[in-house]
Amino acid sequence: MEPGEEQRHRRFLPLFTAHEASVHGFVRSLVPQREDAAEVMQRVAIVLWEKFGEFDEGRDFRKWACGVARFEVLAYWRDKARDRHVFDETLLWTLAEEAVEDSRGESRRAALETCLEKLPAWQREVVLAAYAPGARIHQLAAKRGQTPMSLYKLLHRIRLALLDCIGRTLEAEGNR
Amino acid sequence: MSEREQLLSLIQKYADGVATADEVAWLQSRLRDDHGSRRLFREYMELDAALERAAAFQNRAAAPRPSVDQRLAAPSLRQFASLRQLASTVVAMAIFGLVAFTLGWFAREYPLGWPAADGEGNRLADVSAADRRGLPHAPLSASRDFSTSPSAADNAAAGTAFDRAGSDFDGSQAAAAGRPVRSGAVGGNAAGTDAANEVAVGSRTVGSRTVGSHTAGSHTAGSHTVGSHTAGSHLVGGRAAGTEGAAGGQGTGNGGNADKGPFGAGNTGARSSRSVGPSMPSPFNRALNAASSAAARLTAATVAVVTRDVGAQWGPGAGPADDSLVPGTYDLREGTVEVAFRSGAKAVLVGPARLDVHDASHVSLNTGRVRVTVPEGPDEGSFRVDTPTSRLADAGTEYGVEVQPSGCSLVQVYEGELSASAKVESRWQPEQPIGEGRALRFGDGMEEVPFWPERFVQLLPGPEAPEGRGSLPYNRSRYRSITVGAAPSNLVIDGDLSDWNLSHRIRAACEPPYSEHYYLEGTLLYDRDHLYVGAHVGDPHPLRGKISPLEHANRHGMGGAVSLRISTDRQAGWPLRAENVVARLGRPAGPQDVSDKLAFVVMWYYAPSQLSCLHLRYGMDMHSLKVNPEGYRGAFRADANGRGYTLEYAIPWKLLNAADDPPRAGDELGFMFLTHWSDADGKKWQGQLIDVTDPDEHGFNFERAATWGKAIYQSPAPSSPSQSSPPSLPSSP
Repeated sequence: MEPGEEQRHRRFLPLFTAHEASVHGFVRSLVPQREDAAEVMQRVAIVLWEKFGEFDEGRDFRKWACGVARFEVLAYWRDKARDRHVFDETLLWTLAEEAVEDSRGESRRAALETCLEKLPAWQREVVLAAYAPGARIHQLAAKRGQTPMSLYKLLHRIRLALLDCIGRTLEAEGNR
Repeated sequence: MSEREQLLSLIQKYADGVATADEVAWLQSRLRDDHGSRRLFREYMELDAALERAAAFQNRAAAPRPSVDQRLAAPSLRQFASLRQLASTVVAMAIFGLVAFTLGWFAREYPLGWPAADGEGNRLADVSAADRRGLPHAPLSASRDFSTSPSAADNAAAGTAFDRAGSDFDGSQAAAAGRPVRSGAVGGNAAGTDAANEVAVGSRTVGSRTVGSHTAGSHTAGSHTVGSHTAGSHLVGGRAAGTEGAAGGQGTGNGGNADKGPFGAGNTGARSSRSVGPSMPSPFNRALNAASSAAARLTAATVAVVTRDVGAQWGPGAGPADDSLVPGTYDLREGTVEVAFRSGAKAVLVGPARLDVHDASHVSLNTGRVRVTVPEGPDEGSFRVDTPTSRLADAGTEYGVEVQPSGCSLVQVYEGELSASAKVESRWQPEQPIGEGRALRFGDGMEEVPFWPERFVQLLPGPEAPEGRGSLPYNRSRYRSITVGAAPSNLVIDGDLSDWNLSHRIRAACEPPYSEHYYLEGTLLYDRDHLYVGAHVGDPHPLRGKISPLEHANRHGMGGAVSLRISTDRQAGWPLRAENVVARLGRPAGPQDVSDKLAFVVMWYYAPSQLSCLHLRYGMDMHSLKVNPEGYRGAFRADANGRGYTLEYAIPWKLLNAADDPPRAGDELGFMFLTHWSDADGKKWQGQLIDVTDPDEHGFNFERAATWGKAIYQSPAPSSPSQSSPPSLPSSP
């Protein structure tokens, strides 16, 4: 690797690391399937590295990265265009624009930590089990002796509780 | 249901992938119209992603706790690792030396895969304890199914391993080992000699410096008549510790360790069967055949030679000249040296240490640590170590001594029996025997202290340690292939390999100073229905793994594991051309890249539940994770001396997607062994070893299957296949 390349790398990695969760959230909000989102993220990482030379380091890395990611998402959506389970492109752009401008994602993720701790232990366990890599809802449901649908609903309730908690946490912080 | 609830319920279905097309259309119309709905949608989806990351990286009990962002971000390193590797790999083809540096830096700065995460308490694992209680022997898959497509992070980090990323940066070692040196390798290193075929030639060229090559003339030391000695191994910049014995392990002096055979030996090399045993003669007694060497530098006064040197710094005027120790005082400021005494004793001295050498069988340790091995035999006499507070004499013993800053001495006996004398009120007491497994502190008198097996062991430094190799393997691959013998019909999977035919066993050890405690002895057998994996692993912390099978797949090997990459695809043959997404450089995946017949197999022990676990993923995309699936059998057994373990697994070909067409005699299919070690808690990954590779291929084993070595399937033996005479497997070579 050329020295310049390595220099570039040393600058890139910390930035990428710091913002990857953000970009993942961004991608996920635009890609309906978790697995697909992970795949898109993989591509995004590659493209970000390739295009890092174009990045003006005075700028906001998150915004730049989301801007780049948007095109990868778009490519993904175009692949899926025949699938009626996806949104149209206009809405996608709107969602993406708004997500790029939303700078509160970091704080929301930080608040999530506190909120996960506040969850009753069994709920936390259920939600982490459901999100564990490779976990399958119907298997987990069978194990818990419930139907997949009721597990989805339980997960939904937990997520709503987390969203509420995150909202309240940020509000409290904002008022401080 | 309120409008908000309705909307949220739609979002939930969308996020969980269970929304119908109508519902999606409905959601879309809601989102199009209303900014507030979009915000709610965004927050919900982001939460979904954050939960996914949290679940994948759920060491929430860590203290001090990193922020959630740090923790959630951590997988990115693994994910991104492949890019670095890609970049490095591409350039590696041109600039070995620089790449060595680069990879080393990467590995240190950004360890990947298993090394990246650190293992702390894990709630999910605790929760599952109840499930396991209900299923004493049942595989965990009964309670939980992991099969799904892997995340991108899985994909990228799947290998966790630079296959031989480190193996090219010292061309001289390849040369000395009889491996071809590629042109453009490190300048000055094209030592073209095929030293592997030369007896008693220990010289190696490293950079522009030639080291090694000590050949002693004849000496008489007390009653021991000795010949010359060849010391092969030497420091290579501390980190790239040398493969000593490049001069053809069995023939030359290497301190009695059996782990330095020539590369390429084993199944494809000249030696089809390697004898690995503890009965290596001492360097001095062995090197008679080198007596004629004109390179003799040792003088008659020489009582010992340095046979290994890892980062040694000696005080001015207090080091050995030409690695030869004559009676005198030695001041090892830092690093580690192994010293072979003419008496047959071997001492591994860890700096800072001060040692007075009196003669070939008597030293005084004033400060520092030393581990002493004194062979037992008719020709071997006693070896004496004095410290300010103890006098130790022995034969046929292995023990460690540390002179602590307080002046106290700590002595721990690993094998045999030691005669020790303590000092009480400045008067030496009568000698007492100290047996194996005991540890004593000598101050004014002596007191028993707990035996701690790793006290004098050179532990792997861990992925972050600057003196370590990060994610790079600690060994240099020596095998291009492994022979898979036919299994006897009566194999019992119990962690005891005495019913195995071990004649095709391979042995790969980490390089010094870790070679004695970190190694793999691996054997494969097969029959119509199963692949059998037998492995004896040198491990100072055996069977302490705390990585639950419920944890993230990328963590499964972090508590210590033996892994395989294996192909059952006869059509694909060897070498394999399969690549992962990074190696393909944007080309779409072909069928070979996602083939179910390429498997990544992780075998590890989960100590809290005493489970012999199995992890399987397939293709270079690492799809269809299976954890503890039905049908396999596995067993672990700790070595009696606490310094290693044996694992034995029967893996149905069915789980490797080859039930219909399992490998048969004459097949040559892709294969690779990986061994991972953990810390004392069985949670934190410390380092790895990789062998059975194709050293001529570039890239990482999880990116390019062409880097895998080869498994050669043998025809069944005509009669009594296993019981003939399996070589005994030493529990602690």
